[in-house]
Amino acid sequence: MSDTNGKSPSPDKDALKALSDKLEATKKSHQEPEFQSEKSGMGEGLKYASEFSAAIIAGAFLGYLVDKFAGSGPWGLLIGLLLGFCAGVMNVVRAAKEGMDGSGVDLPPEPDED
Amino acid sequence: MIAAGLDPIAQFEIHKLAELKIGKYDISFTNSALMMVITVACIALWLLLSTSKKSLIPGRAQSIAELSYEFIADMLRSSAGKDGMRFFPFVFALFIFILFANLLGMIPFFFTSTSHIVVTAVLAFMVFFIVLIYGIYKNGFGFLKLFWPSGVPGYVVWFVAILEVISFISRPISHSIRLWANVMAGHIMLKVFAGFCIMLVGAFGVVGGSLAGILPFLMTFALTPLEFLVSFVQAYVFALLTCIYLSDALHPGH
Repeated sequence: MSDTNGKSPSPDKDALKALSDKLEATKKSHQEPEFQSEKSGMGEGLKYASEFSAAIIAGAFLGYLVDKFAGSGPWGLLIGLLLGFCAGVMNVVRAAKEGMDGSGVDLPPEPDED
Repeated sequence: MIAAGLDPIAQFEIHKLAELKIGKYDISFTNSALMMVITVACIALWLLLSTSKKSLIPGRAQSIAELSYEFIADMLRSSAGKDGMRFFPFVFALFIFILFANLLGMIPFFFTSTSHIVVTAVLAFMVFFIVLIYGIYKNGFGFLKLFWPSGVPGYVVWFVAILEVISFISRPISHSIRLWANVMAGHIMLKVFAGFCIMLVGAFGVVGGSLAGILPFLMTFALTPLEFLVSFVQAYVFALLTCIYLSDALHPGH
């Protein structure tokens, strides 16, 4: 091996390096077995928007129903709106925490409260 | 009239194909209803043809049918447990119907029935009431455990319980809005960008307009496969959320 005059110290070393490069590339291309889902920002945004607005609509609707049957003026609607707002925040936090983005990844276990 | 052709909302218009009335209710057969019939016919044809041979070693068509079965069955089992499998026909029907309706809607000049919130809301409320009725039927008052937060100090527990109830009622709304908004926004976006090309040609003549129209054309080109992806992903998300809600009916209180 000493008689090689500086030019490519050992041919199998080069071959090995090429092979490992190829292996890395192949590994990288096989990295994502689960399908790429909802990487579109719009879908992600619509998820949180719908979670948040839906709770406000539901809260306002409930308050409206209370008003209608109890005849309690605008107060039911107002309080319902505020409660809906709170529930909306809760929904968004929950959606973000559970990673329910449809990626097929298992939901991480909820932090266990004692 | 060119404005009417470019109107991004015009594609969602409902036309009556056959007048039909029962009492004072208008139940005319519309283009949306026609698309739903076509959707169901396509699904029935596909499943009938692909499973007609029933060979032990599946051919191409049969393995697609088996794959879609496995896909939904796995999803249901992993999120709702073994006893969730009794809802398999329901979830499978939902997923395949939404998927086919979305995909058929991607064909030019076809109507997309899932781009109307009436359709998606009916599907979502169906899920909601099945969860509610089955949950109460199976667990009785135990179903209310779903609303009872665990590990919350006593003085806010009622407040959180009310929030949980509101959150539960908001489920069908967000469930339906997600599918509807994704499909509708996607179709509007496609139409707007494609319409830019025509408008630019109209404004700058054929040569200049074609040069300027390359950008919106590329955008349309990029958006089309994205919309196919959205069609699939939204059908999947709808089915996945259905599974998660059904698991609440089966095992309330986690």
